[in-house]
Amino acid sequence: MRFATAFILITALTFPAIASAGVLVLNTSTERSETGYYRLSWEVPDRSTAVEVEESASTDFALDDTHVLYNGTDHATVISGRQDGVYHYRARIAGGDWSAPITVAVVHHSMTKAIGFLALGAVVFMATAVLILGGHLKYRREQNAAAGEVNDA
Amino acid sequence: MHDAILSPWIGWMLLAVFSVLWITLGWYWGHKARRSLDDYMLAGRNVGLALGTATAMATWVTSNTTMAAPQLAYQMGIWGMIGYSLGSMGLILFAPMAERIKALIPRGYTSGDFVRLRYGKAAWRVFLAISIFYGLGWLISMGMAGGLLLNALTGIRYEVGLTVILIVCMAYTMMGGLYAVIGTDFIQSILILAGIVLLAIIAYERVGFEPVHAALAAKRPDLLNLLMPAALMFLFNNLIFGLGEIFHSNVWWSRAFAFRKGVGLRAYLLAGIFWAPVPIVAGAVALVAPHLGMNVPAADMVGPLVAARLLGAAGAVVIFIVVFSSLASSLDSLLAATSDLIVEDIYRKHFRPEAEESSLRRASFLTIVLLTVAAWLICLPRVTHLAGMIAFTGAFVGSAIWPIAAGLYWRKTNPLGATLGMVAGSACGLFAYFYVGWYVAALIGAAVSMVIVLATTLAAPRDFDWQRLQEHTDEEPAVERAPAWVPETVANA
Repeated sequence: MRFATAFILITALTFPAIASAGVLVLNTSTERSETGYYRLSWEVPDRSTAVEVEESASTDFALDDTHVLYNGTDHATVISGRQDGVYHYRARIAGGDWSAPITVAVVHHSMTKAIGFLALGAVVFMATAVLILGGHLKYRREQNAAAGEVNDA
Repeated sequence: MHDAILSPWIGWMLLAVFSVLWITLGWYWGHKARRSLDDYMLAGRNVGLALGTATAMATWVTSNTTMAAPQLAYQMGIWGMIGYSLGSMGLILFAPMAERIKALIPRGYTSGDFVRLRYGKAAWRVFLAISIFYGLGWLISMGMAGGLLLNALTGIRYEVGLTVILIVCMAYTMMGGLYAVIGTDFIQSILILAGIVLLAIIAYERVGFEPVHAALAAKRPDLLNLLMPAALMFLFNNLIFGLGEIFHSNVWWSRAFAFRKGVGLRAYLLAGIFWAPVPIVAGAVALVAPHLGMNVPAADMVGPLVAARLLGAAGAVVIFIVVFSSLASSLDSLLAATSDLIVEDIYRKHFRPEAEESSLRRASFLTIVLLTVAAWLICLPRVTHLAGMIAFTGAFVGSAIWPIAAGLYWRKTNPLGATLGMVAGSACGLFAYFYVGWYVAALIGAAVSMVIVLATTLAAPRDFDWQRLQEHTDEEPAVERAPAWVPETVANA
């Protein structure tokens, strides 16, 4: 049931917005990324419509801070490997008006938290390995002892 | 959404060739499985080292490995693919467990048998819920991968590709049981290994390591960052997830029962060693994407898209064969093992203890069909990405690691603690999935379960007689009886 609810929620949150009156609506999978990756998507009325997406470090898309992120007929782009920072995006159909800008803040998890999970993982793994390998050695010793008893008999 | 590399008719032709091949082999091996239920479910319990190693490796090289490993490399960089590769520890640590399982329960059928006899009915039912949920999740992720692959490479609609692949795997699994699954796995493992190695060599020979590194450093610097926090959190989570998947799943237990005595340990160990480089090689292909300046519209498609872009139609054909093989090798195993679990542990043990073999076999067929239909229905609306889909089940399987391992090796493990460990571990893992990230769900599930199993066993140890696991020893093994509908000449052959 939780699984189904999760699916419904994910569907509702990621359903792409539809362009109206020639202006694109740009969507992001998240406005705050703790992993450095996210996905931008947009919907165009025609599959062959070319779309231009810009990324900028400034809200006013000043020329020096802005570059073309994507230009083509796909309907989405995955961004990854981003360092901490605030990134602004806008998109348009070639020659059309720019969409309303959207902003994604990349704020990676703290190193303290990351090291904490790493250490916890190491402990769980080591404990599991010790349980299995220790159990296996004990089992082998018992097998050898039983075989020795049979041979002695 | 994305221009396909191959034309749909080439896609249909490839699909037809491999579908006919798998179904023919399933039909051929199905002859061997007609003698008894034991033959059908456990390949006569006589699988040797070569086939054993191949089936374990091929089953673990799922479509998730060939598609989600590149995705994780593209999202989490170096640690993404290394973390995925640590999934091999599941096979390596299961190797000694397989030997123990075969020794403790030589006539066992399912992992559910063990949990029921070891911990009682409450733990058994929790375990069944976890295991069946996981099995369905894995099926869905593979169905999605099949549909995505066909769509990206050939333009065949996602829903159509998904349907065809599920039907083909269902057909040959029904025909041949575990014989067909293991036999096709052997061929599929060779195709997978050869294809992946070929792709990686050609890809890096064409572009070289330095330009790939330079493009990553300029465009996606954190993919090279060995201190990327989410990737560090993911690292052990994936390892633990792998342990949970393998330790609890009937896919792996059924092979432990099916392997000849003395084969399990070596087969799983070798499979783990052979499997480990596969995600690194597959992941490395994805890291070429920024250098090529190509757009990736969906992270789970990065592997096939890069291969197709670099190598053109020939590369697309190779990746098609690799992914279709890995998909089939896992789908068939999962359908067979999950249906065994449902038929043995739910249908037979709960409702029809006196069921005849013919009735059990009909139930197996029906279960395989129902599982396929359920997976198909859930796959149709493509609502999440592959890695997220798979990781969702991590909370559940992580919580089963300690109840299984401690139950196999410790006489004093507390049954109530094992049950609580699975329930609380799953709940906490789910909480972590939603409130921290998908990349820590299995780890939290396993950690909570471990603490509960340890604490309850130390506080209230229970003695267990291993002989109680020998449920099938004294009774006439059902496996020797041929069902009424099998001709006598075949049954006695």
